[in-house]
Amino acid sequence: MKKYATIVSVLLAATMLVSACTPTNNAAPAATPAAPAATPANEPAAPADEPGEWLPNNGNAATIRMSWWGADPRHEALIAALDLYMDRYPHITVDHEFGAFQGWMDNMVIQLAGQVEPDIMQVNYAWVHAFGGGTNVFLDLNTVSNVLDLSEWSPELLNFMTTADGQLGAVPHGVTGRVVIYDREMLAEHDLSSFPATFDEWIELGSSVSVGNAGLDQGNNTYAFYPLGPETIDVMFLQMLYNNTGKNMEENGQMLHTVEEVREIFEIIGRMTESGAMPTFEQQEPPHDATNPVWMEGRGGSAFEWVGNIFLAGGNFMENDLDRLGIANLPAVAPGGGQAIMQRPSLGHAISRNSDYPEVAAHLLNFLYTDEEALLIIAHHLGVPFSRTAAAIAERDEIIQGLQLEGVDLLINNHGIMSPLFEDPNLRQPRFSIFEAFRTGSIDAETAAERFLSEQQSALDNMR
Amino acid sequence: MEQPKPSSVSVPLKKVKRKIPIAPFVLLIPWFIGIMLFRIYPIMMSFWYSLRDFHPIMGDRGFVGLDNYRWLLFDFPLFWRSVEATFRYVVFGTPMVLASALFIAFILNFKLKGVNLFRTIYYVPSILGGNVAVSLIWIQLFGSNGPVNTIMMMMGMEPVSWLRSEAFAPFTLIFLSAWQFGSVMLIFLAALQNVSPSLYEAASIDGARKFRQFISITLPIITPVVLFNTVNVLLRHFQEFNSAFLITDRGPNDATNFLNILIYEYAFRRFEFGVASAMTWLFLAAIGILTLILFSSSKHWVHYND
Repeated sequence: MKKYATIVSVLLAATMLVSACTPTNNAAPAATPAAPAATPANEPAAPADEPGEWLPNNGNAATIRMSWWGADPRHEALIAALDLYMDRYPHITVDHEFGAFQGWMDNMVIQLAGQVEPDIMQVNYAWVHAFGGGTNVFLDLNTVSNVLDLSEWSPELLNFMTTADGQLGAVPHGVTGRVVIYDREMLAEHDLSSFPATFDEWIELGSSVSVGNAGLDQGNNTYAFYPLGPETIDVMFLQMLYNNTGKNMEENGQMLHTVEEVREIFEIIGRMTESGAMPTFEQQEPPHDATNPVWMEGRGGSAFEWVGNIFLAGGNFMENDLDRLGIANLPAVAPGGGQAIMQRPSLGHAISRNSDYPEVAAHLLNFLYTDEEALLIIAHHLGVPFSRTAAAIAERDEIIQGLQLEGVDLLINNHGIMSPLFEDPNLRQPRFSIFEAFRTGSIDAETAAERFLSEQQSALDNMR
Repeated sequence: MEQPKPSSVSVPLKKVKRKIPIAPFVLLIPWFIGIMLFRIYPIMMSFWYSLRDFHPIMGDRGFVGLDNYRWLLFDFPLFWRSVEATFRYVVFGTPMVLASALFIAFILNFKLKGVNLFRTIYYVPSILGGNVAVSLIWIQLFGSNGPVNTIMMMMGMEPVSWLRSEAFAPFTLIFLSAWQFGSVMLIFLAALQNVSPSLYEAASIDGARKFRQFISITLPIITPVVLFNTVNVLLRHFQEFNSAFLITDRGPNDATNFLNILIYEYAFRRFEFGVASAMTWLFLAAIGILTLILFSSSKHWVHYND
């Protein structure tokens, strides 16, 4: 296992990484965050690690709500951190609500529509920009910067959470991207010492791994790659498209690729399926996550997952057999081709603009991002932290290690591409439909490429 | 004994009017407020939304007239694929539920040993509804490696991709609906038990066999209940959401992308309340027309005792 890099290097590289990123649309973050707004009513603010000097809500009782999605370890960690906060500030009560990611966005939209959203919300990068179509729908966090210490984040990181109207919609926890988690034994069984560097090599490996596979997976099929959900193929496709052409998907609302360029990627996906490297649409049955039996039984070969989900996916693999797993970047489309990784803030935290206690919410956020005890409880359960204090504690206590650290290394050492449009539901859902139509054989690569360009352009036009 | 004469003094009309009791109306107020607030108001609002470019979070972005309707009907192919998927589910699912419910009710109407236990067992699935647990069971049952395929293979048949094939996925959901026929079955059972035994006795004397008795006596008598169940099951199928959302995730290729799911997607994932509301009104119109046809046709095939 690699000697783990220091978080200082993570931080330095983070700046480098975000500088390399290319927000490309109207809704993309503004160049610099807006200047902090006027001091709110509840002043003065003091650092959260000096609780005696400033009491949230001037020492008066207040109840706020916080929501998040995630798996059980995250729920347990955050509940413990909130308990710690309430012990520290007994006059503040923090109610919480949490659940799985599936359906969480819908839940939030309904809450926001009814103006009954929690005071603090865990949010996705794309939502900050998509919910208001470039207008911030959350509290501008610059207005509570006297309580929430924004110097914890680099200006570049804050920039990604800044909407087109110049408001800071959320603070980011870290940066993430997808990397390949592969089964070392699969490689060893096929006399390979390292993960394939190109798609051709991957396809070749897949051909031999899948020998004897049945048309429908009856519990014995093996693959070189198993996508754990429709998002996997979506991100992989866009990353391949960028790496093969060096072009972003769109610029100023115009799609940039040609039919030939898009078709080439569809053809590679088609070859991946035909060779047996990855399952056909019919072979890939629910559940579409790391609890899929193919992955859990070690028949999947490899997966393409967010760095923050490495332990989740690894924990399900062969009953947590992490030693059997390795981390690699997605293979290049062509030998020597680009190896950029699509990246985005892993998640963020926003405050409701309808909150009765925005400063209390900001104070709690500040606590979660700066209090040492809270940070040790949260550890890596929110992903890899990129904010100053959290990163320093993660480095000091070696919180980020093993496979996750290898993943972070890959993110840092490769060019990053980023756009809030990648995950905008208005663009993404048509892509899912096209991938499904192509994978079921309803349309060929040429038609898929034509539909891809026309439907994405149409979605972009509607967003203007 | 002389009967007392009825009073010739007439009660003034005004006085009679004053005697209309107010209490029932007062008691109805909570219901009235509820239905206005939670039914009528949302329905009216959805029509207003359908004429506007309405964002769930950002609010009203202006009047668009019938543009949402025009776009759905003429420029949005997915809407028609969704209509097709919904109608396929309704057209195949409704008769299947009615037929299986009637068949089981017919059998359970005989005086069999332990019949009450069987009635309970058949009713249980409909209590479960369309929840996540049932969906997981269905995914297991109809998975490539599931019991259904295993049985098919034991019978020498080829396994089928029940969940991921465009041809079979809708039927997997129809089977789920048909499995949950309990309530429909109970209503049929109640109707069957109301058929007078003397009619069967007379038919037996005339030499009619059981099947003939069912076709010529039972069915005509229970047609009002058949109409009632048909309308109910039809509406339930039109409103299906959970199974397609949880089991097949609308696919493959929108084969199970029912209108209710599309409406939900456009309202809460694409942030287009206007479009979603327009879809709802078109959907309402389609269901209304179908129900009207059903009721109009009923005079030809539904037989009322009176």
